Amino acid sequence: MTGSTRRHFLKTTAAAALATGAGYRPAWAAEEVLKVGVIHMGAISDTGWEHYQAQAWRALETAYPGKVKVTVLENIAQIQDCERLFRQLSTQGNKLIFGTTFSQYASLKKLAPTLTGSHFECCAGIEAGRNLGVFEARQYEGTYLTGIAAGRMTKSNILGWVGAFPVPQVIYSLNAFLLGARSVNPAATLKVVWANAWVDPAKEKDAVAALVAQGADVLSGSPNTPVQGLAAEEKGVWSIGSTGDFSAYVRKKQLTSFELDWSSAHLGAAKAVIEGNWKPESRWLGLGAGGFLKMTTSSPDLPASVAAEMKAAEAAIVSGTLKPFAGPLKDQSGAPKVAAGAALPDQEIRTMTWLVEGVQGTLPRT
Amino acid sequence: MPLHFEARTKPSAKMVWLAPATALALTAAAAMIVFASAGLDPVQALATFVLSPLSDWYGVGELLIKATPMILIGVGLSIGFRAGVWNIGAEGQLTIGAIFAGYLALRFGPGDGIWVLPSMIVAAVAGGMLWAAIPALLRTMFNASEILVSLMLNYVAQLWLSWLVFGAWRDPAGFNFPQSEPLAPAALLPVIIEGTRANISVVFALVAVALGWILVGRSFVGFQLRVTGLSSGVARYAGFSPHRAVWIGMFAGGAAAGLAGVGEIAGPLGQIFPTVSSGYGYAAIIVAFLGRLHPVGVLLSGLLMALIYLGGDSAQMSLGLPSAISGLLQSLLLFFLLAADVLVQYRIRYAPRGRSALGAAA
Repeated sequence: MTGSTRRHFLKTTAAAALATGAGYRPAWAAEEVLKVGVIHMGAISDTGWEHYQAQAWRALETAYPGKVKVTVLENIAQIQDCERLFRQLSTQGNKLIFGTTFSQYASLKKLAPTLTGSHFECCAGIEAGRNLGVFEARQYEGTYLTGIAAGRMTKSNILGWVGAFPVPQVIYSLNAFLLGARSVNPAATLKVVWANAWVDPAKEKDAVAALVAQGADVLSGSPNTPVQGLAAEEKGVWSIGSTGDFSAYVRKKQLTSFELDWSSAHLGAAKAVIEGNWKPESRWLGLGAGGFLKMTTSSPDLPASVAAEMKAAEAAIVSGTLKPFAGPLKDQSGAPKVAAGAALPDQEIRTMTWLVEGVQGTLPRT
Repeated sequence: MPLHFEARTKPSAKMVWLAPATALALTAAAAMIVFASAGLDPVQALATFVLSPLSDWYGVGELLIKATPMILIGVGLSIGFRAGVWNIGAEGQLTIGAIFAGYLALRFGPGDGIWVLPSMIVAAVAGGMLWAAIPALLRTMFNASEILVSLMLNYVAQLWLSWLVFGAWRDPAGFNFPQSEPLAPAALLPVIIEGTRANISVVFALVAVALGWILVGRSFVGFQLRVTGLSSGVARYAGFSPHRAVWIGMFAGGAAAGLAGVGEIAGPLGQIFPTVSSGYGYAAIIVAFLGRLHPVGVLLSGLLMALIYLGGDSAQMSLGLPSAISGLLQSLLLFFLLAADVLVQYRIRYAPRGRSALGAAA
């Protein structure tokens, strides 16, 4: 009811404006301050997922001093609350609104088409929709490179992975980790233990202990805290930071890491809104300039030859000559999945629910 | 100190209602100090905190939908609390309600039958009561503490729900994310205020308040429960069964919590996640005491708690205050209430040095 009258009002005023010969004015005029809203599910801390999300809107504030005002909500853990808060951000005049996790995607998919006064972007959302853009990182490019380091450094030829949830994002990351390792060390295998949590220090520690007990000597994983690295350091084995650099905490035994960098998503969307040409897009970017992944400095104990090998592979991935999921690929049971000369298409990587040959462990299913 | 507490001969009826009002006023004052120390205009900040969430119908709907589970459970719990039956397991009973209703919703919801929703509601209430029956049974049979049993069953219920959502109930099209498929329209509670998310569970909460009021204030059972709570010896002498009080108290809380559970999944969630509540069952304990264990009081305190939740989010959004502000104000409110409650049993007496003993004797 109210919607239709408002639309009617807009239509009539627009018609009136045209009739009186008023000039075209974009929804957002250049001299205004762009209001941006962001909702974090957890608390913003010094590292981990929320930290890298926050780095992105901080980059926005730095890039547009005085021209962008970012309103940040953190600790919005209840999904029931998201709908109200996204709507409130929109009615308060935020023209660009970011969701920071997949858990907010369902709410945004429902809301974005109705709240046309704002544009929406959801990190880790599945597909772009009406008035809703999504962006996600090709984390497998990072894990393929860290896998090279792991493959070179392992003595037992057993690598370990602490899995958060068996979602495609985690599955393709761990698959590529082993593929990277096997590209330099065909004898490498990967053991997987599931924590069933993004952040759960107790379970992560148990998982690390279990992997080390099974002989793993280079560990990585998907949860976003330094806990795994610290637990690995305690056991005297290498750890690798996946989606985050934990070298400030894991001082001796973090071999290498890659971190997330969403700033180009935020900067790009803000620029488009300011210029009035924002469109809902789906971006899936990895390494390279303007990408969502960044390799970080490695431990001084990583041999220069291995670092050079990683650099070369990085350049090849960025230029497109190296595709981590290129054939021939077999799944865990040995069934062929990708033929020699072919590469897994993006859509199949994004929905990957199978483990590559050499991964030991199963997906928790019923 | 010339000021002394003096025991009243009987609790002050006036103070029973004045104490929460005092606590509220003190909380508002403390909030203004917090706002001022954050460099904000205290009056304007307080206005933003309490008024901005309610600036339109949508906001009112959000307040109602947030308050509903706390009011429902608060009314249910207060019936038991009056009889000294300490059900700390509402969180688990809510979760079981969501599981029972969720099973029907996922299994039969897509079939579009009009009986789906009513049977979900019945199942949720039954589930909550069933879960509450465990501590009641252990208490009446073995005298096991219902506080500990009901509290620990919260974890059991939570793990059961996680197991389902991570396993059998996981949405096949959900990329392995731990969440069920969205509930079918036939399994969703109808919205009662157009353009908001306020659904029929708001009406359930009001009905619960009315029923609670009749039970507590107007029925013989309510009288028996209160006597049991005041003195179990007297209750037994009068022939009131303390076991019966345990069963009534636990069932009331369980039924209400189960109903709140279906309200969440068939309402604002519309889907089943590994956690459906995150704390309504515990917040309702505060709501029950803040509302003086009286249904009408619970209604008011539930709305107040919900407003503080909403206001906290608004404060983050408009005032740039940290998210801890909601928790801070809620605990201040409880703190001041407990302090003000002293005045129900005691009065403050001015007695200069040397006369205090006399004053106390009089």
